[in-house]
Amino acid sequence: MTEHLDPELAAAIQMARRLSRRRFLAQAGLGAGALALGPSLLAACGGSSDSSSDGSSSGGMGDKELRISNWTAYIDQDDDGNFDAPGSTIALFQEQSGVKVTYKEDFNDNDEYFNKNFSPILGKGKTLSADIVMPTYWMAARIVGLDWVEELLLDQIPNHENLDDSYLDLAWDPGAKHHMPWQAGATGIAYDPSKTGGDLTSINDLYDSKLKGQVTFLTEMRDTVGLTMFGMGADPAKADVSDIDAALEKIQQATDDGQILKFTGNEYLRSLENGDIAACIAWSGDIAQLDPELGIKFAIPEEGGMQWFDTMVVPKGSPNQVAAAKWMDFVYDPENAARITEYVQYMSPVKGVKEALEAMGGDAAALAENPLLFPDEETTSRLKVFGELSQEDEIDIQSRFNDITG
Amino acid sequence: MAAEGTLRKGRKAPYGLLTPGMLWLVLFFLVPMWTLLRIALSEKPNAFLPDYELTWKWSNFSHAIDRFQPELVRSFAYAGIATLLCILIGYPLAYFLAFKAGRFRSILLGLIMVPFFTSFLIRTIAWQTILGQQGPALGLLRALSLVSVTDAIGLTQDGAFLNTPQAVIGGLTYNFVAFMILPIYVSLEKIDARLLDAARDLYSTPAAAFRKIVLPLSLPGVFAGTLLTFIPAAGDYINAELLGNVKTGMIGSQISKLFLKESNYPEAAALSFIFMAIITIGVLVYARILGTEELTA
Repeated sequence: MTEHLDPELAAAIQMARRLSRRRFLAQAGLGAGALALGPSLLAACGGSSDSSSDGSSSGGMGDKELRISNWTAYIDQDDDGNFDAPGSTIALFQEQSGVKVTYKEDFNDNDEYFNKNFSPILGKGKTLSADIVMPTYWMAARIVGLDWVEELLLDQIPNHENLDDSYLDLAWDPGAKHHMPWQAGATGIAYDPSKTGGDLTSINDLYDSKLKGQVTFLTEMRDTVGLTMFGMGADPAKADVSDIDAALEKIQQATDDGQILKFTGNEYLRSLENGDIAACIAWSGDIAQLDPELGIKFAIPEEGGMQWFDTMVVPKGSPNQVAAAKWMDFVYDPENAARITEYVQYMSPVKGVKEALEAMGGDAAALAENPLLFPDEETTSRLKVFGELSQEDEIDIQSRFNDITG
Repeated sequence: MAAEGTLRKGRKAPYGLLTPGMLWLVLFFLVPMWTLLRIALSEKPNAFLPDYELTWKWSNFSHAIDRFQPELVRSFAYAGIATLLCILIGYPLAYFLAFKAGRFRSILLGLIMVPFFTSFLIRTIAWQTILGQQGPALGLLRALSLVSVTDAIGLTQDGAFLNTPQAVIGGLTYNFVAFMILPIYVSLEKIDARLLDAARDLYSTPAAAFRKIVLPLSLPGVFAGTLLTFIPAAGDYINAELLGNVKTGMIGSQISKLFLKESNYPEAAALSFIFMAIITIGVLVYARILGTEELTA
């Protein structure tokens, strides 16, 4: 979508980069949604899309070029937004491997990408114009399940062993043979203590009538429903449908009562900064990047927080699978991973990043002590990934959730 | 015989000149409409796969109406109020420009257009800051201790401008008012000043002259302005998303969600169709009532 953006808006986003990590456009339906209808309709009509090329889905072992589609502000770059500035991860990778990288920030939203690219292109057996894309875990699980993803060339990714153990026993991809996590984060609550009149510790604090009309929730169903489930004593990792139903009912009630002001993507940051809301459901990385002087606090609720991660997958039929393997191996080197962490300030799935940051000294070393990036064990034990949903349940729940979010 | 031949040829030429326009309409209006209608009557056996079956599933329409009735009503209500406000704001302004502005006319006309050189999105985002808790609008009200007054007259809600239906309607009005001013200005500017002289000569009061001459002659402008304002305002959802709350959602965002979140293309297409049908019927009825032969003749 980035190339469709109004240049002015692109500039504004660039300026607000610090605040507008991702999901900014897509979730608000800003631009993205408005422009999306046309192309997706056309793509849906069965015509071929310009971003696809006909051909077999057997893929190829190319090692000369690599096309990456990622979320915005999700890799180190210079102030002008050049991804391949000297000393950047992409520049170093190109030097070392001889692979030419085309890097695009055109992954704005999981569902949007699915309905504009994965489904109409991969679903028709054509190939995507990207060799690595970074969907969120549940979307990765979906496309792995649909067999739209190439198996990784693990023998060419020795650094795969640096993958944090917690990612190795996921039900949808045991041993992580089809994906390698890019960055991870936690969903919790953010609040302005001057407005809430004290610290918030429980997700149910957001349902407290004291904060009526001063609270926003996320349009990301798994985050909002998952946290609400925690507050009701249910386990989102189990994703039990009756628990989800109860949570949806509670959210519906709070919406009708005027407790929840609105559902947002990461525009909640602007609302928090401007003092238009007192508290919200928020992503850890957003708050990590905020100006500390604002006094905004972030907490993983005592009942539990949602863990999520975006992950690298190679779409079916990619002609550059060797180059993709080289890239994954490169960014799983702790030093390279630390450089990316220093910029994006999310939790890294790569072992040894903390030590690498400490070795870098200065501001980077300070990040190694940041609990938002490296939560202690007690916090980690409270984080859970939303359980898997059957296709039918997922569509049903998503549509009922959409009815609530307005 | 020969003369008749050239005459006939001459009659055909206009049709030949129409070809590009007709091609345009067929390619970019009829074909997409047909595709949209087909999808609206189709079924997607598997929501995750891109395949359709045309099963003449009319229930897509009834289901969409059932589910999105509140948003449909809201879209038209907000757009209607915004259009009315645009007329109330735009007409006097256009009148002033056409009859009173004199040599400042072109400068003032330019000034009206200046904000619209900035993108729609940026302007709307700017309103978030202006209307926010720390914005100048509330700051002024607080300084004058007027917040309780504006609450009472419904301009603000619980001391807030932002995230209210009022803000959405205000945003729509602001973003589309120029499309009201310009057509009205053009129709007013065309009015022959001698008609007003004649009215005065015949002892008409200024009010009667306005009512019997200026207003009827400017109605085509009001009609055109209404179309240019109402239709995009009803379909807009940027204002509702950025300036509204969870209870101000308009139809555009629902269509987008059906497409992008639920992969439910058939129902999204049906909803789009319903929306367009209502607008088309509304415009036809409106044209009838306003009796704009001048515009159509």
